[in-house]
Amino acid sequence: MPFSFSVIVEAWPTFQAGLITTAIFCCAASVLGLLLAVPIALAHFSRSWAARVPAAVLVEIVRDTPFLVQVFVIYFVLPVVGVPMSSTAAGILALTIHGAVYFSESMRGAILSVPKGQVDAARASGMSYPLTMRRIVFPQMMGYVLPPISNQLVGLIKDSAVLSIISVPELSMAFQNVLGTTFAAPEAFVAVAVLYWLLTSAVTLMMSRLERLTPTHRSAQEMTSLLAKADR
Amino acid sequence: MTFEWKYVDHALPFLLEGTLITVAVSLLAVALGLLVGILVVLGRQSRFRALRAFIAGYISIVRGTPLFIQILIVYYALPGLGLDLPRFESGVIALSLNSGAYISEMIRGGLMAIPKGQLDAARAVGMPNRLIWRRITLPQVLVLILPPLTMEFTGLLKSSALLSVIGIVELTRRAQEVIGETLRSPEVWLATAALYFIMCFTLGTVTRRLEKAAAVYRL
Amino acid sequence: MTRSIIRVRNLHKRFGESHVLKGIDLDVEAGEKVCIMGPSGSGKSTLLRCLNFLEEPSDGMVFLDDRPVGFIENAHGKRRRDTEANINRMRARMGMVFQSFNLWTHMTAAANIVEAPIHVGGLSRQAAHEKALKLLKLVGLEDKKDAYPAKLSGGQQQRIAIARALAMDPEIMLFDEPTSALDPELVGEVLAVMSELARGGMTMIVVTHDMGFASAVADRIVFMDHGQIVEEAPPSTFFQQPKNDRTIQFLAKMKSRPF
Repeated sequence: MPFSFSVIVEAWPTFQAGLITTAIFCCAASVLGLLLAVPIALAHFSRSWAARVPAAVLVEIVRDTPFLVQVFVIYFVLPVVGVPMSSTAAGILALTIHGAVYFSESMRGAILSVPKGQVDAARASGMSYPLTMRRIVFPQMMGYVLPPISNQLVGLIKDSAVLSIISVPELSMAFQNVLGTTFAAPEAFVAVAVLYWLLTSAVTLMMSRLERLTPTHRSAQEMTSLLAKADR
Repeated sequence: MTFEWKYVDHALPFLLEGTLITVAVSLLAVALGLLVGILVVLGRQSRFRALRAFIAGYISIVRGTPLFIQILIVYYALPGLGLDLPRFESGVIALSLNSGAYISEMIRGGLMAIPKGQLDAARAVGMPNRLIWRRITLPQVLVLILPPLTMEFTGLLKSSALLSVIGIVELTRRAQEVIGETLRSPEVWLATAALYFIMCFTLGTVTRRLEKAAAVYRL
Repeated sequence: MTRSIIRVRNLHKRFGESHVLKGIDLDVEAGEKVCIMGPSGSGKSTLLRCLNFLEEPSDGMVFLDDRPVGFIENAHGKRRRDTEANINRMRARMGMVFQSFNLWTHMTAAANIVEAPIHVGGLSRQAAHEKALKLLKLVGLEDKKDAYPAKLSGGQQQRIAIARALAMDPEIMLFDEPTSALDPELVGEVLAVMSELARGGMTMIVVTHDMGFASAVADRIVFMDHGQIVEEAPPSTFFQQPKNDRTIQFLAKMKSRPF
């Protein structure tokens, strides 16, 4: 049976609507998630356990449960404790929290990758903790944080497909609709695969532009040991 | 509204049955995924450009599209190509194909992590390639990929929740069925989340131990 | 009578099960140069890091100019950690030079030197840069002011690190094995700067393995082993007439190296 592009063309409005919804959900969740990730990441380094423990618990819970179940919990349990929930709200909230936890782990890893000596020197000079983070750790951490976050943004886009299960009219729901009406599986799959690929490529491209703008400022010692490892 | 936990008590046996299916599906998927991963690694070194291109395409698709879509495709679309599989097998295959792509990267990473110097030393004492593979490379690769493989298994335990959509009666589907009966959705979802958490958290601890043990191999 | 700039009283430090500092008592007077020597694991670096509170003592106290470092004693005599602001102020009065230099890799040499004076000391950019230039001249590296650490040799990085520590006009300079990570031919340039500093009257506490520097510059050598001070003496006495058995063993090992 030949591959018929006309099927895709006819179904385009459905795909387009789904694509836009996915793009909007993912943009919103990414921005909110990145913002939320910062306090979560920093909480791990706090001296008070009132900050460390809730953050660690949140991260562990989100990492050890399926995203779908998180969506269901937010959609079905929160209204019961007084938080009204539409599928849009639940979708964005679930995606945001899920994203925030994973972003925060990347940030935490990046902060830990900055050699401890850099912080020692700052503290020994009398620099306060916020000043040290701002002037020394943050600039150096950028080089370590962008690659994992780039991967996780792609993961977020793919995770958003799950939201169709609570009837969010995004791209994978468009796929299911087209599949249900036309039964043209190969065409529908190719179309949706290309569209997801477009979304993820856009993100990867944007992130690699950003990566080029932030040099890693690795010390000569680090570079030597990195090069030695790469030689293996 | 108050939470009425006695419904959880009632639902627990059903949920636990679902957990068994979740674990079964995940075990099968990681085993098949390992097979797929090995085939991919071998295939990448093939002389045939068509094979290498096919594999590259397969990996691209698997990594570039949502797992959810992949599951739907395997279940709904394969019949069109003449391969009509019952839902359980479809689910396992979809998960295996997905995992296989990622596992192939782990295997590649494991192979690269073995310092070339060790192979040089083996060749210098006259070891044939077959023996080098069997005595030097393979044992180390197996140990090196054990931690990421366990992590992949944990990931599968979570991904298996998506199989509920094609009707496989794993934990999430069971939860939905129980809710259908009792209409106590908050309690059941929290209990379900707790069951996943217990499984994944325990495995996470095991993975961390494995990583520490494997680090001995890495110098 | 010269006053003690640093007083250490019954200092203990535990890391989990490991008891690294076991009751250190030490006095350092203004203008004194003290070298701390000892085998690895004796706690020398830990002691130094307790002086500027980079490590929090488990017990005992450090006093800078008679003020407790890092702790406040409340009415009942119980102590608790001082405010961050006070701790930072104390640290700014002490300069520290690290074994791994720790120059901030994303900043030029000059930027490294002016960072603390501007952001901690409140100096204007202009004033800070003038000072940096003077310090760079002092350590012989004015031409490297716009260089990034990655482009500098170990000896150059360490000299910039010394300039950076001096930029805050510290009352005392702490050196943690400043030449241990340097290639042998670069050690001399750093020791030259340190000797110059010593001649200028700076109070210095130097953890080092370098016996040559210790004999030439130190007023007193403090020998540590297994978390305790075993022997203290001026260099001539220390090296020629060590009293304690462990000191004798240590010196024998150091001297018996094949090169």
